[in-house]
Amino acid sequence: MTTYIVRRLIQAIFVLVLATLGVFLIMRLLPGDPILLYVSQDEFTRMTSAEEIAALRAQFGLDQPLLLQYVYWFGGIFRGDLGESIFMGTTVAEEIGRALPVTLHLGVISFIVAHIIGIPAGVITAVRRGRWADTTLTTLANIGICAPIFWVGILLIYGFGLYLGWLPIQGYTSPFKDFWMSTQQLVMPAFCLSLPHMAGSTRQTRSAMLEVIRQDYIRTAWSKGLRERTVVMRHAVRNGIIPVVTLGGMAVPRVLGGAVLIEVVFNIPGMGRLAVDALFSQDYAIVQGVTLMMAAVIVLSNLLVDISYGWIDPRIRYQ
Amino acid sequence: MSESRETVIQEFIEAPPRVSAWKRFITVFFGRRIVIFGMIILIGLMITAIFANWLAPYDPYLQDLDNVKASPSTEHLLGTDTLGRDTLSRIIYGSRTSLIVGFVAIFFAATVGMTLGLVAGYFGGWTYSVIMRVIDALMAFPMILLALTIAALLGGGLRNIVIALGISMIPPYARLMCGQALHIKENDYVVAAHAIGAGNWRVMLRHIAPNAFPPLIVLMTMMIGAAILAEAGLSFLGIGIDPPGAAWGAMVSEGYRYLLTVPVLSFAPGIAIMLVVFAFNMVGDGLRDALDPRLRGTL
Repeated sequence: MTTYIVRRLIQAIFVLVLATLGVFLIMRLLPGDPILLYVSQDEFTRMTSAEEIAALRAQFGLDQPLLLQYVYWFGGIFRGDLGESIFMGTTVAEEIGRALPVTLHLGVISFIVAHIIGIPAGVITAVRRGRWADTTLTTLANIGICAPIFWVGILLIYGFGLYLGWLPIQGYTSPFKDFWMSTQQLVMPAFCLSLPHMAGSTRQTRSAMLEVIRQDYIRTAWSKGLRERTVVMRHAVRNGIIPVVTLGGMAVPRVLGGAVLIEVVFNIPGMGRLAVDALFSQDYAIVQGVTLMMAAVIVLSNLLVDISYGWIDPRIRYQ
Repeated sequence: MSESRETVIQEFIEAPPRVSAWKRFITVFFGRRIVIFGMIILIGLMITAIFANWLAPYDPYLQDLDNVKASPSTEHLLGTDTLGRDTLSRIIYGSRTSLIVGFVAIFFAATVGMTLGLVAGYFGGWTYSVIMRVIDALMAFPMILLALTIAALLGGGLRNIVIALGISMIPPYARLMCGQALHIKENDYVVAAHAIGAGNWRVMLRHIAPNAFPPLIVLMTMMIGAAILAEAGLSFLGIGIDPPGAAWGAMVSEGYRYLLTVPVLSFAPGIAIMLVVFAFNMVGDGLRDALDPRLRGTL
């Protein structure tokens, strides 16, 4: 097991380094010279001399060869220095420090919501196979997978926000500042963000449970005269749930990707919106930092999934 | 002697008729009503996209500034947008964007991904490690963010959106194909092909690839839906085909600003997106069951 973990760890580090290289290259290939943009942003539109531009270039380290720039940037990561935002006058680390907790809050809540609703729904559909509960929930899950989440967000905003007026339609408040307001604001975005994975885990739980229900030990449990509740909860769910929970790790990139859309719809100042805004204003350093952060989270979660797989199924360790 | 021969013949006659693979495929595929439903939507969509010129009641680019943000009426079934363009016509034309992006991006992703996966799985060793780590690195980014960044790099427009989505959708194909190749290359017929002197490429293309195909077909069908969703997401964020072209995601985004006054502007294109993705997913489900029921739950 230790060898397996170490091997996977080395792989993960390698992948992360590759990812940083990819991010860096893409950012450098993006159109538009950030320094010229920076200069043109200046409120006092004055002529900027070539020397001033060169000085700015040197200040942001953009006059160095690409490889050196990469090495500096890569080295900076370990010092917590991700560079400076060209437009906002803050460091990238500050911006991420502000946005990351927001996305984490939103992401973790929707991750939990997805499983709390998805798994029981899947169990019900499997146990009541072919009945109306199965048909209804399976159809809902099939629809939930197809719905564009930004559109669902807009529907909810219209229905619960504008029409009924029950929930605030946008914004984010820290739960430590105003817990009630924060929760109210989070209900709709968290639901939208959890929707694809909720539907997905319903379907996965259903097929995993249908597989388990056929097993001999379930028949034995029934023939012992156990109540349905006990058979389902103690015998079937416990075994059927393993692949579903492990697959939960796959939800991480989906939730982070969804956050890009949902944060724009609900005007939430998280990582996703930070990335989109920075991308449109061509603020390289921010995009670099955000994508790197997301990549790190995803690689880490994949690593955990792999390790838990190896723990559950020893055969995998030797592949 | 002759008696036993007769029994053999008798048994042969009484044996149930062998069902051809094609017939079995058709029976299973069309066995579920929901799959038929998906198929009908899909055919309808293709007809809509092909004959958009005839089906659309108005020119989707024709601005009527005296009649902007009109509510649905008999004249404009789904109302008009901020420039007075007919929403229904724009949705009909938008189906072209969605379908083209969906099909071409998936074709691109599948071709590149399958080639990489085939090479990685077949050769193994270093080739495998390098290719698969690069694929892992691609997977380290949320798909939509990756596509968004690549699209920002290339600029908007139909072709660049297709490329951006295509690149970001490579990993699933590469991984699936790689797994298939690793598995299939152990078969005796592959060893036999080597024994009679077949070269690497011949073995890969003639013996491994065709046998790896069924799950990949299913993945392709299902991923077209995902590609259409992702395209909608991108155009919602503002990176999409050049105006005045119609894209459903962008229409949702435009309508969002007038949610209070004309909600239908935002609602209608969303329903179109959902219906199409639903159709592709259901057809994918049907294909999976018909081609290889063992894949149920994994794909």
